[in-house]
Amino acid sequence: MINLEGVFSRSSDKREPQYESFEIESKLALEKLPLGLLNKFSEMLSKRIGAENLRALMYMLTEFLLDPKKLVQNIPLLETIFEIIRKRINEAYSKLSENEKLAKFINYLINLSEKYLKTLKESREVCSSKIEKALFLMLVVLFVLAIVGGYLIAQQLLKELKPLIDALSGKFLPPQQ
Amino acid sequence: MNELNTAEIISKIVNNFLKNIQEEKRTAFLSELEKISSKYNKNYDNLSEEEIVSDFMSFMEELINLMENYQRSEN
Repeated sequence: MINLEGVFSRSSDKREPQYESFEIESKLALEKLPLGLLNKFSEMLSKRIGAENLRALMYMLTEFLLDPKKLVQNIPLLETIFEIIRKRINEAYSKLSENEKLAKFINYLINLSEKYLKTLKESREVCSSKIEKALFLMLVVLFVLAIVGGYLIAQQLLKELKPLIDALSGKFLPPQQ
Repeated sequence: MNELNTAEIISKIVNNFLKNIQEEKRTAFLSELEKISSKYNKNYDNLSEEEIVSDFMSFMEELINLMENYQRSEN
């Protein structure tokens, strides 16, 4: 399991996020969102990666929301994190290529990651207005959450398929006398 | 508040976005957002994780498209 807390803590100290500094009209948009879906997604991520890791992930996203400049400053770190996750997804993809449905889903995630990584690189120049920054932050949130969620599912499926793969490769055969 | 969940993070981004578009467009934006969200009013307890992630991504893509449309109309 990838330790997100360890990865993300390199980019920041251990201060508690200052959520209060958000100017919040939270309820306005919150009430319009599909809360059932989003809460289930959070619950699923929390179960998969652990509450601490999820907290670290949200902490990173919150830091970027509080100060978009940090996002730009941390592009090399983000590229590294995304590259690690993409590599793992590619590995999972090659092992599960016979599973057409999953392969299609993972491929979709890889394409998304390429699209958003490109946006990330270009953002240094194009994110000039507040409205562009908000849109860009949404892309980053989508990218990070979707890629982590997708990776974790692929990882779990690999775990579940491992006994079958091992059996097929002869690992379950009794030692030869 | 000690922790943020996915819904809160997204709502904060949407709210920040709303602050930067014309006031008369905000109601229309929220109404369209509500319409998109209504497509995802399912009982997610009965769906697989793959289906949940798939719905989450579809919703986020629709939301981003909506934001992009409003961004274009502002420019």
